[in-house]
This record gives sequence, C-alpha cells and structure tokens, in this order.
Amino acid sequence: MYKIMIVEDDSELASRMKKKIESWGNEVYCARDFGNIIGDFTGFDPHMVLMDISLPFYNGYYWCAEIRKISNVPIIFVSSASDNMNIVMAMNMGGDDFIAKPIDPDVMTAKIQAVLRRAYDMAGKIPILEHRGAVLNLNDASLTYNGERIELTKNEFRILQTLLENKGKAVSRDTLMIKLWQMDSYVEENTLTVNVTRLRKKLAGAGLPDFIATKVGIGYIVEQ
Amino acid sequence: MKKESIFVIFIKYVVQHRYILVLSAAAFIICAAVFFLYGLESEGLFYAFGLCGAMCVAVGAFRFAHYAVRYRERKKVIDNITLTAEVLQKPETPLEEDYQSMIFALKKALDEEITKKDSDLREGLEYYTTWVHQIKTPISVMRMILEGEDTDEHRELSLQLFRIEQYVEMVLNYIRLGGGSDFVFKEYELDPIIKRAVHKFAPQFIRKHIGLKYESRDIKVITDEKWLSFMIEQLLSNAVKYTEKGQVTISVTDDLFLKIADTGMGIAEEDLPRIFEKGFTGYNGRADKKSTGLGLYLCRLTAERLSHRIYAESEMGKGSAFLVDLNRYEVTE
Repeated sequence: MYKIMIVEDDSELASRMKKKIESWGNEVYCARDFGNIIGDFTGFDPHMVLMDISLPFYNGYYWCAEIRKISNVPIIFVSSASDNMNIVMAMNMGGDDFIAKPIDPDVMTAKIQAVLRRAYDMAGKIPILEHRGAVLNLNDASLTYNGERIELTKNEFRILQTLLENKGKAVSRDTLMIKLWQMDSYVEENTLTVNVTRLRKKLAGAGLPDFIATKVGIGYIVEQ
Repeated sequence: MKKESIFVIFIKYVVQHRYILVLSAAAFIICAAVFFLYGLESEGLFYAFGLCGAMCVAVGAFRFAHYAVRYRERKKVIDNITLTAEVLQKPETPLEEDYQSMIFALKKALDEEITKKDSDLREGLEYYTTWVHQIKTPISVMRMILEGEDTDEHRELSLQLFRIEQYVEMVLNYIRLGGGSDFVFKEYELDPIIKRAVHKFAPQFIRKHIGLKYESRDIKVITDEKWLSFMIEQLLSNAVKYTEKGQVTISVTDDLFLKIADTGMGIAEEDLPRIFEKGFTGYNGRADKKSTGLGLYLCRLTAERLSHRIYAESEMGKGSAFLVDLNRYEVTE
C-alpha cells in the first residue's frame, strides 16, 4: 500500500481520482491548503505526488521545485496544458511523468503503477487478485489453485483480471474487448467467446467449475 | 516593374513644367510686340531670347537631372513599399510636406487600427485556449464517473464524451497550427504511436463491430509525436465513421508509408482531389451531415508542418486508403 497525495484544485476531480486510486488499495490524501502545499506534504509524507499545474496562489511547477528541495519523492504532473512545451518544462522541473487531461483512468492507473514500480522495490509486495482460493498473480500473469499452476494465455489472463477486479459486477463483452484491444490484441466478437470458453474449461479442469457466470444480454460476472 | 526610359521621364518632366514653356512663349510674343511697336531691330530680340533660352536650357537640364534621380528613387519606394515612413524622400516643397503629413496621419490611424485588431485577436485566442483547458477538467470528472458502471448507457455516454474530447482537441490544434508552433522533432518509434491511437479508438471500433488489422513493425521515423498522433487519430476517426462493416487495416511499408485503409463507402472520384481543402465536405460529408470539412484539412496542414505528405486513394463502395509519407526530403524552398 502506498500513500499518494493529490494536488488538484478542482475538488470533484480530486475526489474522483482519490476514489479510483484507493480502489486498488492505496491511501490517498487531497491537498486542501493551496497556499501551503509543503505543510500538507510534510504532514502526510506521501510515496508519490500527483500535481496539477494551474493552481491558486502558486502553480504546480513552483510546488514541484519546493518539494524537490526537501524530497526525491516521485511527482507526476496532471494538466490540461499538454503541449510539448509544458511537458518538457514539467520534466525539467523534476517531474517523473505527465498525465494529460482529460484523464483516462486506465492511463492514470498504468502511469502511477509504473512510476511506483520504478521508484520503490516491489519485492515482497506482489499484486494479486484472489477468489475462491484461486490466486491471480498480476506480475507474472499466472493463476494458482491448490498449489497447482494453471497456464493462461495473454487474453485469458486479461479477461480473468478484469472480471476479478469487478468482482460481483457484470462486465460487458464490449468492455472485455476494449481491455484486450488495449493489450494490442485486436480480437473480434467470436474470438472473445472462444477465449472465455477456453478459460472456463481450464478453470473447470483445475477444480473451479462455474467460476465465470454468463449474464444474458450483458456479459460475464464472477459472483461475490 | 521594368525601369522607365529617360525619354518617358523627360516627357513627364516637360508636362509637369509646361507652364514655363507657355510663359516663355508669352514673354517672347510680348517682347516681339514691344520691339515691333518701338521699331527696334528684331536681331536684338532674338539675341536676348537666345541667351535667355540657353540659360533656361542649362538650368532646366540641371533641374531635370535632379528630377530624374528623385523620380527613380520614388519608383523604387513604390515597388518595395513597406509600412514604415522612413523610406519617404525628404520633402522639397511645402506641397510635398503637406502630402507627407497626410501620409503620416493615415499611417498612424492604420497602425492604431491594426494594433487594436491584433490585440482583439490575441485576446480571443487566449480565451479559446483557456476555455479548452477549462473544459478538460469537467470532461475528466465525467469520464471517471462513467467508468464506475458498465451498462449500455454508460458506454454510449463514454463514446459521446470521447467525441466531445476529440472536438476539443481539434479546436486546440487548430489554434496552435495557426499561431505559434509547438514541435519537438526527433526520432520516434512508430509502433507505440500507432498503438496509442488505436487504444483511444478501440471503443468506437468495438461498438460498430469493425475489425482492425495491424502488424507491429520496428520502424523509427523523424517526426513530432504529438502531431503525428493527431493525424493518425483523425484518419482513424474518419475510417471508423465512414465504415459500416468490414475492417480497418493499418500498415507501414518498407519505404516508410503509413497506410490506413478501410472497407467503407469510399470517396467519389470527383471529390477525391478536394478532400484536403478547408470546409470541403463532399458527398460523404453531406450525406453524413456531421462533417465540418476540418479534419482532413488539419491533417494536411499538420503534414505540411511536419514535412510529411498525405495522399488519399479510393474506390466508391469498396473503401478508401490514406497514406502518410514519413520519408525525409531535402527542403527545396
């Protein structure tokens, strides 16, 4: 679990980002005193800072420079001004990455995790998803059940991961396809059906029948 | 403009000073009449006028040389007229002075007008830029909210929100292409640029059940990542928009042509040469009613700024293909 600080003056956006980042098990603090970010920073002592550029009083570059005087904590800029000049400037000011607004939640997640992985030793903290005793290891894409390793293809892994992340909620076929496309597997509808069928067979073969249920007209679900 | 002959200038000089000729002739006639009435020798008259004439010719030749030099200077100024007043000749007569004062007064009024228009324009652009940045925050919030649920409505709203984002992005790029440039040219891997664009448009493809074919290739090109992405996104957006069934194929050839081909309605032969023009919508755009004729125009403009080239080929009913030439060429201008 990491402590992440959000410096964003639009409170609605800040709280949405907070919710999203908390959903994969982090502690999040949204800065409140934009005249004294350093106070909030030292009080919360985060592992990472998400920094908007246009803020009241001082801008994000200023606070980045101020934080850099006392800490090497990773800083990711979040801004709508995503022209090349601003990105170059952000990196020169000591930023580690740049997330452009409008924020794509998937891109945000990926960038935060990548920066955290680079900055902190992830050993001993393997991200996993678990259900009915089956453990999905997100680092090496393996599924283990009763000490037995079940080999998954890239697509099968991504489908299972998405379903487990939304445990108890139906996931549409379109959403699953989008997730596969984002891994550069440009599947068509019947390929998805085949992938799900194979995945179910593997799970059943390993002693996990009916792991994935079908929601007619919607998609698939892993029941709570 | 070719140089005027000295003869033409001489004619102009004579015309301008015609009153001297008329006065001289009148003086001669008056003197001749007086000489005649007093019964004086007419030889004296011719002698006196001969000397006067010689003097006039000498002074006139000197004056004409001066006139010719200034005349040519003035012509040069007119041919290379700029908006500064320093180029004007030093006035030699009160009349010239008055005209110059008028020119300066007009120029001052014009300058003020231009300055005002400039600052109006800049203020407008600044406001649009701010607006684009402002609108991105609520879009972010909506996106986050929509991501929370996975129903048909949520996905449809996400798609529509994505379209809003694309339009917003287009406004910003339209402003940027017109004004200051924002380019970072270096060698980029082409594959991740294409993939990122595909990821963005994945929901559109899936929603419309259109397939995508793309074979990754390890190719590097000199370009600007952001602007090339913008071009690819525009082309993908069109490909999805005008394709009802079938697939879109993205490929990169050995000679560095990026090709985005679809199996859509195609472009009419008579429209094909004009699709990159500003505001041109063609048959497809008019049938669709959503087209503004801006996307491909911005693509062409961007391609020009990046020194890439863009082409289209199409067959009605079979599909269209857009090619971006990513080769480097020597600048000829």
